[in-house]
Amino acid sequence: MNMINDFFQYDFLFFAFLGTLAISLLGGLLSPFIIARSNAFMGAAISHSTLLSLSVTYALFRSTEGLTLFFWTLLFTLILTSFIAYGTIKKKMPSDGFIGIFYSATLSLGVNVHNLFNKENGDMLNFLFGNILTLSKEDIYLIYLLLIFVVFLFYFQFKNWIFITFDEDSARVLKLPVNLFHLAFYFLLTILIVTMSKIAGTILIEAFLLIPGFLALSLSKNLKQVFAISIIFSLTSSIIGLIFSNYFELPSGATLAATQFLLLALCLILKKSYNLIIKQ
Amino acid sequence: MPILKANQLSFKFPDENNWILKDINFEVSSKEILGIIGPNGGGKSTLLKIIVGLLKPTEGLLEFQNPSGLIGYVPQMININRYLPITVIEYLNLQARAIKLLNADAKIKETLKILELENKKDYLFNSMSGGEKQRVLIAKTLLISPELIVLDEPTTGLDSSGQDQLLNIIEDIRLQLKSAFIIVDHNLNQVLRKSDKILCLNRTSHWHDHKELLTKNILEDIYHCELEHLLIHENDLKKGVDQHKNHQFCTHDHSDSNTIKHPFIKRDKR
Repeated sequence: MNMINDFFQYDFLFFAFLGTLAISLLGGLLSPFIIARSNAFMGAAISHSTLLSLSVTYALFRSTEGLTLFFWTLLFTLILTSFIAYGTIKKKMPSDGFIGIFYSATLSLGVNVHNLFNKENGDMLNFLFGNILTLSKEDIYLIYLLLIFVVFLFYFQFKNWIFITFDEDSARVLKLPVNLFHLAFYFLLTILIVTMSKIAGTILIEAFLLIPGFLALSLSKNLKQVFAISIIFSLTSSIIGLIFSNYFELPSGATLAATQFLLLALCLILKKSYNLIIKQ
Repeated sequence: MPILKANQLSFKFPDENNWILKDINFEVSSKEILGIIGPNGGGKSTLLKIIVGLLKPTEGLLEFQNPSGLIGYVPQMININRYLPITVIEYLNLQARAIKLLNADAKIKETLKILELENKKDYLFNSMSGGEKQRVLIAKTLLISPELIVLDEPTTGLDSSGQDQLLNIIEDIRLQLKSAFIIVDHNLNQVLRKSDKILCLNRTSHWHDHKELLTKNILEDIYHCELEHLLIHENDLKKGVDQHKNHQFCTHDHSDSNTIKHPFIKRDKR
């Protein structure tokens, strides 16, 4: 019982619980789009570019204060995302090559900027692998503001986004704002990644973004099921991961990602077994 | 007046010197079927993208009788997302919402009836056969009541009976709804059989007129290839063996060409 009581006794754990709840909801909403659009590599590139933005923010402002760090990191990452979005929407060259170059360039620059200007600051590891202890009250406000914004966007644009993802050429012929959707999606992904990086870390964030959608698209027979499974899986696995992380005193990002992966494997094995039993 | 008229249409990509299309002229009138044929890489898909508005012509004009009207576009099946589990009815509803269709439910019901898809409305699009998918894609375009429907490689992946069935559906729609069609396809035989007019296209050279006026020489000039080779290729396609994807300057052995005749292509006496 102590495993759960802790979250209501200590403020920092309660913030971590609230933050994880909101972020897993956001991940659950966006994840099926990322998988269906084959944007997994794009997500990885954005999350790794966050490291460059963080290093630059540290170097310029020497601040670890939550809002300053969040605002400038987000701004720099959005600028970097604009480049990558422009390159992939234009499609002059294969987008995976472009994303790969962007990925390694921003990561290497991030590490070098950190070593040159922020060596005395050891917090970089927190951003690589995440640390739930770093969530503040301001972070929680920000995350919930983001959640409201995304739910609002989904409510009004969900069907058009699905149509563009499913049949992009027809959407263009019908003059839907396809490029604006791509850009909005990349920006949303960026905001989500920057917000999530404190909990999951820039390296392990991919688990949040990919695993729920991957499982949902593997199991679902219709669209409603896709988003229901993705959100329920994301919420459940994140909360279980958070409880394990606290109880066994393990790093939060790694524990959340490992829990998601183990639950994914379990679900896929159960599905396979069910199919075999049905066949017999 | 034609519902679509192309006047000296040319296209090249901004940073490139070579024209992909040059001075192309053609027109389509109401209830007509225009078949676009030509070798691979000859600009068929580029022209189609210009017609539906996905690309802008570098030079020339594309005049629509009704500039504000929507074009019914049937994309290649390969361009439809394979991962999202969307049912037929969901797909049609998405299209109806995208065009803000009034009285959508009744219109969808009517369209499903025309395409004989009433019993398949709850099927997942990606689990259907190639022929059924094509019918769904056509149903989707009918929701916008288009004067012009453009089909991109509609017979790809269909066996010969599936191709016949699809082309019969197109014929029925033409008669019922009086829509015009543009069909871009590699399948020479089917396109020639169903079209009223032909646009034979190979980048900077083209020929356009009623299909009865198409001759062996014209085809050979545009394809840069002997007709016998084209017909062997056509036979290969029927058997599902595509041995000769490019018809440019062929040196193929035409030893069995005497056995192959084509009902629509006149053989000029040389």
